[in-house]
Amino acid sequence: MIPIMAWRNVWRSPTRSWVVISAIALGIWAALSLTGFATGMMKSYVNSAIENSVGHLQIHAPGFTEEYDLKYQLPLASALEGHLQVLPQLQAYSMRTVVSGMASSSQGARGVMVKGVEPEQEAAVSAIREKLVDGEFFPEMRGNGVLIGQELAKKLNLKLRSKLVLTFQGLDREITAAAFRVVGIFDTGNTPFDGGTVFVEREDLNRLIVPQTDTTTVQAELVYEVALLLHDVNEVDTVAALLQGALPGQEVKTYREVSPDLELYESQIQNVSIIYLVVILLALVFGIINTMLMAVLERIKELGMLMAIGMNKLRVFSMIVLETVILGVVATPIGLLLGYLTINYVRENGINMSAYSEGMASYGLSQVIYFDVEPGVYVQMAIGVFLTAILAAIYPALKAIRLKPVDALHSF
Amino acid sequence: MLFTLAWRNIWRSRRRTFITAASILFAVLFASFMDSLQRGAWDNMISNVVNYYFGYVQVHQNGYWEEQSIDKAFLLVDSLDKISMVEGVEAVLPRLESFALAAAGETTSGVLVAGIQPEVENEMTDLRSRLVEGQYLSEDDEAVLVASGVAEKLRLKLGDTLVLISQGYHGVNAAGKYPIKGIAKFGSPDLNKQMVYLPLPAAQYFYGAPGMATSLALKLNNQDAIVPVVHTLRTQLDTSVYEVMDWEELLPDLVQARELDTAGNVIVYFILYMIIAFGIFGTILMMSKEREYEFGVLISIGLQRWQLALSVWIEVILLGLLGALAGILLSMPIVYYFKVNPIRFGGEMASSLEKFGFEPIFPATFDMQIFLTQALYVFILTAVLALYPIFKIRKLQPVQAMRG
Amino acid sequence: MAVITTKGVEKVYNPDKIPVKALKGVDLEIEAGEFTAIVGPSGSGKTTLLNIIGGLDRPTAGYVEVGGEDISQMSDNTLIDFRKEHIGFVFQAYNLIPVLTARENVEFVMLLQKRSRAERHARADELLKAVGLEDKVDKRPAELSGGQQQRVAVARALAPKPTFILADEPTANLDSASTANLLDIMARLNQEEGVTFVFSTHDQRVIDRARRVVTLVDGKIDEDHHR
Repeated sequence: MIPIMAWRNVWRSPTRSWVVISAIALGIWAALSLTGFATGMMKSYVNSAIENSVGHLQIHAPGFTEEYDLKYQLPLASALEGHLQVLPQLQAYSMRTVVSGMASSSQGARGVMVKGVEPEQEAAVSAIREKLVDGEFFPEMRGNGVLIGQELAKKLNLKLRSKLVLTFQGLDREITAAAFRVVGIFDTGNTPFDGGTVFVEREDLNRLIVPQTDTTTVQAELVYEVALLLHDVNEVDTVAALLQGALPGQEVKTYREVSPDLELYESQIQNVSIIYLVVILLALVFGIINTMLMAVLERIKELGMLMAIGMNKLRVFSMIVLETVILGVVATPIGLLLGYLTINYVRENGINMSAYSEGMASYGLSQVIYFDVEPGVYVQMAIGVFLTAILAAIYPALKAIRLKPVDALHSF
Repeated sequence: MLFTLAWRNIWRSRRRTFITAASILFAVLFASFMDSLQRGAWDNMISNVVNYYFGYVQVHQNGYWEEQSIDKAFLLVDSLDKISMVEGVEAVLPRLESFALAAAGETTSGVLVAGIQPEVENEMTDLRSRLVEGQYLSEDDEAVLVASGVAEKLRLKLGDTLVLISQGYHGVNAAGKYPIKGIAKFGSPDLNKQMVYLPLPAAQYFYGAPGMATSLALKLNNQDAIVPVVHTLRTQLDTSVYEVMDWEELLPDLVQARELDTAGNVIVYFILYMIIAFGIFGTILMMSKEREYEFGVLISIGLQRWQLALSVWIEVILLGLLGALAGILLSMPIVYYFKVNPIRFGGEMASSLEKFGFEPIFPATFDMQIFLTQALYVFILTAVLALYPIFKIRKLQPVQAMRG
Repeated sequence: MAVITTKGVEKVYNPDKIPVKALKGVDLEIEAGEFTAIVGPSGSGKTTLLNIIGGLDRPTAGYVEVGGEDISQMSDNTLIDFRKEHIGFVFQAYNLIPVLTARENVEFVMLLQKRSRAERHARADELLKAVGLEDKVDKRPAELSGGQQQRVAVARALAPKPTFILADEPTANLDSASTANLLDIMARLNQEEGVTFVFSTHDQRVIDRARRVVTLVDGKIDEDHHR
């Protein structure tokens, strides 16, 4: 009987109840949309990092990534290939030689990371080929072609077929400089990446870093970085463990470890959605308390009568709590549905943030954000609302049971 | 009279007034706090890069900023001295800047080499106070001052030799060896990992650009001087040769990123206030319903509808402003506390913030305008919501209302 | 056998500030099967006495026995259960639970007593029939007239088979016809079923039909008429 009474009590003031229900639904919708936006932004950031060159996994010799010292070499390319080709989870891999150096043109100079890649392998792992806005992805030509980002092209005033000089240390630590010709210009939408990374062919780079006097090093076997792309990103930890077993003493890192900020970003998203939810729910608490308090105060005589005829305090208390929970229970599916529809729509169509494109690009974010949320967030929201309703009901419910029937009735 | 009526009515249901005001207080408190922190973080970042390096206004040869090429360096001719005469300009800092490859021992790194006049530079950027080790440069030194991030990356200590390799003016080869005289720490992570300072004459020699500079950074009296100074300079200087840029033009991504971040927060505040609005609306709804009888009586005894409506309208707005005022009074000490004791981040959070160019210290900005903005939001919100009882009163039939 | 016994009941309000003595020693015995009106002018202590007999308030001194149990020292929760089992209430207004139908209202206390569904149903129908509302069982209070609402209240008060029914000005809001109708039903229940009724009233028509009239003046029993 108490649930029935609570349900009917809620609908005694339909306008008032709908105001509260709308507020809760709006709150859920807003919290979901904000979370969707933040998650979408994070995924866009992580995905663009993965696509641009990080891949899902990377292998380096220990110490290499600290100062890019060429003495930290990976095992021979042919040996690595043997380990990689047996992994069924692997979609593609790219072996690279990476040096830190300076790019200069007649216009000036910039510090850059030079990535020496094998075109076919690289195209299968990263999206650089798709991000070309000019030129071609390493066309057939005789030696020393370079792909540069649009940002670098702008800063160094380079165009297709311009000459670019790359200066770096070789294996013997002597400074080497070599002229390259721009064969393609890419735009990943990430300004720091586009301004600080160039791609050349590994063959060319290996030839430059191995001194002519060195006759023991086999150029084609020289590798400093392997980037791997998996069929399923969720297998990243499993494959990392497998590779670590196959290549003891080498450094196998997932994309989260390669860019610790990616992991931080992923973990922050959880916090961000909880913060949004808590703030919104706190704002809702006031409205709920106020409404329920009114609902109690205007029924003082009725509640007094209920207690006079034998309804005990626990029952009165639970009836008020239940009435509040009903408001939440009605609102939650509405809010969740609205949020789901919004997220789904923006997941398909995206929100164009081009008004802020430069600001976004300088942080490595793409202009179009596609909403996304983890399924667990929906459950999190529902639980949050439920707890909030109970919390907000406590004060009005206590108020109700503190009534003395004799004071409430004033009728004898 | 109407005001008194409104004021006393507010205190008729104290409990309801307190709860409604508390919801507004919460929104105002949260929004002012977040806004102050966010503003603080950006102000700190901008002051780190603008005050401590770029300056509010810079003068270059036309096209330099777009290309940042040393080939766009210009001669420091006497006619440029008049810049320092412009009202609002306190100091003119000539610089010769370009990228170079820095090598030390076995490692290399790309750096930004800035040739500076040590004493003038210090006047604006307070570079000397940023020293953590060693000594400040003097005009005729053949030595460098490096940022602590550069020193760390290249594993350099005081007195070690730094090799700089670059391309000089009009493509000449530039190479030099310099002892490290001082190490300075910058708040801006971007600056901290790439700055290498040389005295201007040494830099001019290094880049093969005697008597030249790539930019003039201007120290101004205060921020308000930016607009007039830029205006004056654009009329006084030959704009076919020189470009005059303020910091917002110099650093457009920074400005946009700040706008983006602000826009994001504004959306959150908007949602927060929307939810609070529903709560206030609920209160107004109940109030109008339970006072219907009283409204009927007041109209019957001769109060004009508009007077009654005005009184109720004032009542709702007073209620809102009461909450806003309480929120502001409560947030002021909190914001002030975080201004004096900035929030510090550590660990991975700090390194991530640094990657995005933020010093991992967030001092709150204490600006009355932030609080007043929140009060304005509440005012607009309640002014709109209070239209509901006005609408009700307009259609009220006294006889029916009094029949209950 | 006395269903209600009060001995030297006193009630002082505001004992700390300006004490007001509402009851100054009331000795009263009400036997099973009585049909008793308690009357008196405003401020005579009538309300206080009814509150105390109904277990809604406690005496400052003296003691109250209902069905042989001293209720003046019971804890709040015990009192709630005691009222539920032993006392039926009919108030002058706000009697029924607005969100429940007539039948649900009658069933409500039995539900609190955890009676079975079938028993509740049968008894509710029987009682509503007894008050002449067998065709209104599924109506909500708002759909019933004032008199009908009070008859539902009487049916509900009877539902748990209480020791007696306490009715506070049950006819205060009713017109003459409804008043007569309600009194007929109460009198019939009293005579045929032996239900004990104690009610307060101002209404001369009600007083005329009472078989015992207790008059309170200034917190004391002034007159006690048996007819």
